[in-house]
Amino acid sequence: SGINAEYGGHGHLCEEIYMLRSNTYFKRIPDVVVYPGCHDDVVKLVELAVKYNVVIIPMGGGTSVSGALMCPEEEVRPIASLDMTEMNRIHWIDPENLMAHIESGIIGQDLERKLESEGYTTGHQPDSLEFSSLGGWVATRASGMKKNVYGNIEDMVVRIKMVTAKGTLEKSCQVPRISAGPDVHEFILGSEGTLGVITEVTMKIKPLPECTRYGSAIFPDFDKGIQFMHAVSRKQIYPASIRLMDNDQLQFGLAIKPEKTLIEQFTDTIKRMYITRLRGFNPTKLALCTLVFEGSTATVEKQESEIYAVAAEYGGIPAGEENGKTGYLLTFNIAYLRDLGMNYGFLAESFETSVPWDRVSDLVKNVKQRIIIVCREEGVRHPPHISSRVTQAYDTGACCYFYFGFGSEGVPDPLKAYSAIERSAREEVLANGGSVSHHHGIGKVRSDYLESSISPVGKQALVAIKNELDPNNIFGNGNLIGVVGPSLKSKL
Amino acid sequence: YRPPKYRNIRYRVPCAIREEVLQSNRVRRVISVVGKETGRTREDLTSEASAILEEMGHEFSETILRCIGGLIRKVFKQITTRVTVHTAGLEELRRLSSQKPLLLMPTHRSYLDFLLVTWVLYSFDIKTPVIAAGQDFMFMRGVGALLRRCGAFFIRRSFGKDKLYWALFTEYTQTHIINGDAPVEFFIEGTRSRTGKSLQPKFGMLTIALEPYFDARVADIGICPITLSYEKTVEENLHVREMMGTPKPKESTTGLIKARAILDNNYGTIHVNVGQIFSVYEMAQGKVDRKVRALVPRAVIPSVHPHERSFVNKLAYRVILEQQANAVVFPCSVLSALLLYRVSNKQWQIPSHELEVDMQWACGLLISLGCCVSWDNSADLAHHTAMLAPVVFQEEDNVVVDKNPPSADHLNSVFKQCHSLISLGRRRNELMHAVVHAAIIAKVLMRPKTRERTLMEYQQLRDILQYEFIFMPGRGEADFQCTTQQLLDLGLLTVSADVYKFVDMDTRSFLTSLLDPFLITYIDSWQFCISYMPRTAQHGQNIKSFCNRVQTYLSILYCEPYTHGESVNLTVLENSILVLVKLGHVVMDKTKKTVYCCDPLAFSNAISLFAFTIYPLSAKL
Repeated sequence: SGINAEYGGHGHLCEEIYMLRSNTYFKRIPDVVVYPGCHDDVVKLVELAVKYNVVIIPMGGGTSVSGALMCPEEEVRPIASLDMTEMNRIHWIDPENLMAHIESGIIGQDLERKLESEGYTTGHQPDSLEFSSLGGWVATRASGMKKNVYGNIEDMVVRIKMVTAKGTLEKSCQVPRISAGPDVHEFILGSEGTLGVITEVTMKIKPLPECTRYGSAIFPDFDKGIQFMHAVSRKQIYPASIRLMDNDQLQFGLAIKPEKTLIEQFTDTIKRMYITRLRGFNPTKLALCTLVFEGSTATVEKQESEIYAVAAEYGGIPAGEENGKTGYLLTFNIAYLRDLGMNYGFLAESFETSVPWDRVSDLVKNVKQRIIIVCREEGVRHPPHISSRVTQAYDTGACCYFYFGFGSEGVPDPLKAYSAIERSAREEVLANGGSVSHHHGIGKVRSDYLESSISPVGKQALVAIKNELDPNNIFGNGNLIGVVGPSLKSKL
Repeated sequence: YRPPKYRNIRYRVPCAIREEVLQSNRVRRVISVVGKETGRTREDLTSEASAILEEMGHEFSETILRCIGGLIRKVFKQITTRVTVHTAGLEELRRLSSQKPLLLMPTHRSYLDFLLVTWVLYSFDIKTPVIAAGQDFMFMRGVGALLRRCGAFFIRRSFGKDKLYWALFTEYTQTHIINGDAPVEFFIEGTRSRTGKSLQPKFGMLTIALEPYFDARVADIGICPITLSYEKTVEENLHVREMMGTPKPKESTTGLIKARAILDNNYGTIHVNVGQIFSVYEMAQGKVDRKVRALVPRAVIPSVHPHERSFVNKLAYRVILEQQANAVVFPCSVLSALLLYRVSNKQWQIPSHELEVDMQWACGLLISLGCCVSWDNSADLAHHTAMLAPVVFQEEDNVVVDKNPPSADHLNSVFKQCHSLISLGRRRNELMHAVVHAAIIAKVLMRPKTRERTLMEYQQLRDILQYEFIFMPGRGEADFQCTTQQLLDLGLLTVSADVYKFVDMDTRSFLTSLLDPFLITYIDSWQFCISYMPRTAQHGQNIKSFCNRVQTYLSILYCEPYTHGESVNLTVLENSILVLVKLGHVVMDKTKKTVYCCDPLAFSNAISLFAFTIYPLSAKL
């Protein structure tokens, strides 16, 4: 159970993994791990916690990359980790209204498998799908790859049940829309476990698509690709997923591509010659756009032809289904690769932001440059890996995703260097008009930036809600708004 | 010649740059705004914009640069003894040139400046800059076109409120910085300094150049102050004449051909010093919040925020102070100061051996004050005198200051001897930046004073001389602290019971002699102001013509013998009026440049109080 407790005390932030692997102990881990089996169990547990002043940290899949699961070091009360993964049932599926009522502890891939067997999908597909849970998605305002068709998590939920220190918060009806003052779902979404435990969620579901097809196009450079994506968004031709990888990420992706047969290698050579020799693309500049089309066969075909027509306007060449598929492979492999990299002292992390269209290109350029400069200042010996992709397109802007990593060889304190680099990268993002986060959330590592993001008054409002719903700070994981309320007082 | 390129560069030919400027957001917006205001059609305005860009843009060509490179080398070989460069600084510059867009900010003393910088960078395999130049050169047949091909782009001297021109010029400059086509070179002083001292910084161009950073178009900009120290500038004589009121001759190709005589002269040594390269990102930390601009979409023309403006102002001063810190002072400047000191004591012929001893002493003093003097402990007086020719010559064992130099033939007799003095003053000015703080303190401590009083009077003098020398605004007390500590360490100053006393009398009188010409001229000029400055706005007189009146008055006042040239030096006279405007005694109309003084009584009281503190024993007042 010591192992379980330690497991309950971390997510998948680079720092956390590094500490685990380097035998640096966490200053504080949960004292007890509890596995509730249903909503009522949670209600009872929270009542007990209030009675005995025990801190509850809810946990789903444990894939947080914001330090959200770390126990506050200064906490002196007992901490109970509420592992929700036993609550993994689908209560019902409603084929009439296309909804499903699901317990929050269910892991993404299990949910999809179960729904698929009934002929449905939620369409929510974050990169962490293998491990992350429904409750976690709601608590962090998750975003999925196919949001263009299915929406982000906030577009998918119909009804949420959350157990707070003052009782259960829920809406009394299961309706597509309600005008009853500000939507209470809005402060549950992204509350990061600070207000209560999400136990059950009613979600929209869709019949499995008739047709799913991958696609890709290459562009002479990243800027041309961005212009293409912007044009796609202006024309409102949104395929299920559209992503643009820069050259560094493309090469990274190619490096981990499965091995090829001789014939495939031969055709590859021909293709490469066509692109570089005949079309004059610079192989160190070109960018790859990967696409997923979903829907009826007719829709998919129409979208495909429209998309490739726009691509041609911006110098893009269709690059086949295979390249599209490989592009998405990296997404799921990256977490495993990071662990592998750490064996060789390579520290890596991903971060993301959202930004208006007119600043996408500059933001990516500037953030890369900042990381290179700070790495040198921090004594990193070799050029860092820094690659990016534009991973979601919206009407008014885009989501940019970065991978960065560096060899820590010869760096006296790799973690310190890492966090200095991470910080200045984040500050550069903000200075460039980017958001503090698109879908990773605030947690503890980004809580310094909350106030400047939503104004002091905005933060006060969040603090006020917290103090009202949880006056004794039972949900004292210290996320989002930091440690507030009476937690420090109560130890006296 | 294969210089490293900026890492985010997109290759563009000069006409593609102009085309992009024409298509830019800013220019298209301004065209539609101007169209609405004036009723002109879009086509009409676009073709005007296109014509302006043709007139402005450079035509950089690497082939031409290679050809010219050899030629420039020949010219410098012909007219100089040697050109020395700061190689470590240039290596750093080359390293950074691939990392971030760069601004090169050389000092501006001579027409040769930009040839020199371009040539040095070319020789060191660094991307040569595009240079913001005045339009004067553009009209030189052949030369203008040649300079364009070396990267010069031409800006009208004044374009006031011409929105279209402003937008084109802004966009043209910024696009080079954003894309990093080449370093952008401009002169923070705005124009050539005729006086040998740094001019007050100009902020407009620097603001434009830093906007891409404020607007997060680039992650950082490197600012590279470059100091060009000439042992003797080519245009020396012209500058002296201009200071006395002869207008600058118009630049022309025939003029250039006529001036080929300069090729026969030797202008000594030139030092090219690359200063510390500032990172705008680092300097702006905590001072400029780029987020503020992110709320304005790129399609809207941004405005400069007050915190950005104050950052730019500070930075401009930093650049000039860095240029000064890297300046090399030549012994002939020290010699000029010593000669002027003797002249102020009515000694126009000085025995060489005395001067040699003085030189040794004065150079030692300057070096100990932290000034970089190219002094090798051997007074080659003949060489230094030759560098001051024709206003100084050696006669037997004496060094003589010519009361009637051949270069002043065209002047009337009143101004003749001033010519020599202004010429020497110009050379002396080249060392002023290193001693000005010490000199003010020496002046204040004509008799011992408490620390508090010394500081107060130091601040007062600093305020009065703010147009004459470069003082970082708001750093008065820190500079004072720093300088007094230096003087204490050198044993020139003592402090007991909080009272400062200047103990080395030779040093004190030498230092004060450097400052006196300015202070005396200021007081004299102000006395004229009390009596003759217009009283009301409608009688306001143009500052330039008013200065001419002051000049005439002072030339009559002093007729014989002159002891310092500053009293007829128009730049000093103008500064003396400008500081009155700054201190609120005189009102200046910004657009018409006219001055008047509404309360001469209060003003005259303020002046006599000041004059008394500076010259308690002066017989003249």
